[in-house]
Amino acid sequence: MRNRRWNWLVIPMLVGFATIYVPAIVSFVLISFHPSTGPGSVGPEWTLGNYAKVLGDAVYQTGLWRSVALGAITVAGSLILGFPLAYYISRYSSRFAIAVFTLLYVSSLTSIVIRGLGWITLLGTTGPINGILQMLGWIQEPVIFYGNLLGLSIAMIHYTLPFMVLTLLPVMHAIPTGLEEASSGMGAGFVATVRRVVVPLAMPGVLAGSLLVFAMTISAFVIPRLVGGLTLRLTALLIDQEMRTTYNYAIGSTLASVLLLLVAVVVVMASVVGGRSRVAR
Amino acid sequence: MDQGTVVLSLRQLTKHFGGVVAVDGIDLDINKGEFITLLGPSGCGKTTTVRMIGGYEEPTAGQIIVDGQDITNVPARDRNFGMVFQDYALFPHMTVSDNIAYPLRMRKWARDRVAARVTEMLDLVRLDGMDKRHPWELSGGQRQRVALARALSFSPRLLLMDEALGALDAKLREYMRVEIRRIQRLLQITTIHVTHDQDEALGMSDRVVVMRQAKIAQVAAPRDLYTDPTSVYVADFVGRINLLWGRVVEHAADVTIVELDDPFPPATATRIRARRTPDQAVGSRVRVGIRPEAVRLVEGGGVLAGVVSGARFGGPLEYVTVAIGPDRTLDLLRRPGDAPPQGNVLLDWAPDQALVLPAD
Repeated sequence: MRNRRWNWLVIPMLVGFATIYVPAIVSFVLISFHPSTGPGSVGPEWTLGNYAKVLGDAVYQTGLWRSVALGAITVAGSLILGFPLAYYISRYSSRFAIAVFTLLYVSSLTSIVIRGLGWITLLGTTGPINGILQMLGWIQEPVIFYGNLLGLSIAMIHYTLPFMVLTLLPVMHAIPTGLEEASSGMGAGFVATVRRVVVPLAMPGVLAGSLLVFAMTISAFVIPRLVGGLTLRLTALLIDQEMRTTYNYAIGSTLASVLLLLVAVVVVMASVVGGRSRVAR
Repeated sequence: MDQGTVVLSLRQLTKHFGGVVAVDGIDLDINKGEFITLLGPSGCGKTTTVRMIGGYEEPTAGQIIVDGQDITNVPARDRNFGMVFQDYALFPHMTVSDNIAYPLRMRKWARDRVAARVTEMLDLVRLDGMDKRHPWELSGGQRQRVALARALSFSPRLLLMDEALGALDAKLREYMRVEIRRIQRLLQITTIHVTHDQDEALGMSDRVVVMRQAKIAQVAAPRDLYTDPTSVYVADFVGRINLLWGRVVEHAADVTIVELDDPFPPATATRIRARRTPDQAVGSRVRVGIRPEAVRLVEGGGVLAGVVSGARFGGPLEYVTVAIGPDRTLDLLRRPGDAPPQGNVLLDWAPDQALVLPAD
């Protein structure tokens, strides 16, 4: 906070937020408290009926639970794959590590539509993944990945992995390697060192990455539409359906508000956990 | 001290980093209970050596032997050595007691035994009451103590210290030298300390290993190192010394006569009597080294004549610089008199104080 004179540099962004983003959020949150009066219109009176409907209806409930489940699975998956990867890249400046990092970075720049379509091909019943599994004799019948959480989770983990790794990387880099040396010199094995030194110190990155991936996943639309198909209901897809197919703005806005609230709750929970494990330097 | 029992031996220990030779075939025996210091300028290989001993760096060649066992390929975690790192490497997310308890928990000590040892160690390094603090809440000196306590808590076979006092300010450093030596003597733990600070090396060690360009230049007790350096490098690195060029003329019964080849003003003796050093053959080119405190100002006679060109007051002692030739000066260290000496002076020293060193 030493250079207050540069604070004005954030003004353009704040103006953009205040004039576009905030009004958009406020307007759909407001709409969610008005009853639907037919396609594309809401009545003037205030009501909590939309929320009662959204939270009571099995279709919306399923969508919500499935979104949360997909978010949790994707966070877990990208963390399990991303943590070791980020650790490896941060600790070994070998050509291979740089190649891995570059590959990951480039793949994150690929169009999301192309990646979604790619997974449909890879995961199809006659696709290479089923082919390999059958060749190895692990399965008799092809596994169906399309239109269910299994295939969608795989695609979402792939989509979010670069974001997880790129969030973890600076935190990993900031952990002095001397701490790991000290740990091993005091009798700790690799696993103990990672568990007692690296993971606790990487926690801010783990939380930030997990939040990012969770928020990205539950609001994701393209990949769920492509890989999940038309039948797998997720909140983000239901919002689109309400807004653009049935023109039920009230319910669409309510679903969007619930999703917003969900992310807010997760952020608060994460900052509570993060506050407890915070490390001042 | 159980002097003479070798605990650690380095045999032709070598480390290459790419094409750079960091440590070049070092041989060294360290005795039980000894406090040994590796001294040298940065880049001389001292830190790499101690890191190889600790198991943090893999030797390119050579062996590390502890109590007769070759541990060259034993990983750091199985060596049971304590190490104080240059930046202490304290775990920022753990309290002082958790830091100290870390090696004990890794050794699966029972909870009450850990607690007892932590208390004992806090007492040893005089940090009672600091157990619940985190490293960032401590001063540099306190962190240093925690690092020391953590390195000693599991009763390691050896204590290694890599520039452990480097980050402290001068006063504190001096105090910690005494503190570390007190603890080291109390525990009688064999200690290998790395520093570039000659005062630290001379003041703390039983023996000092002076390193130069990946090799050992000399190993000696601090006093011997100072009074009996075997090379210009050691003489110059450990303390201050005046160095003159010359040629050995003769080895007499108790002195070696050296003909100085610096240009001197007329009426000055150019043959001087120096410490008898028969291993420098007659006719060989040598350096003559005289410590500033060995040079005296005399009224008559003396070895060299000169003109005072400057004096620097330094509290209990003052340095006087005397020009003894067109571009030659000689420093002397003396108790300050009423006024600094001026003008023409005569310089003298005992022949035994003039070291005859190989010209390199």
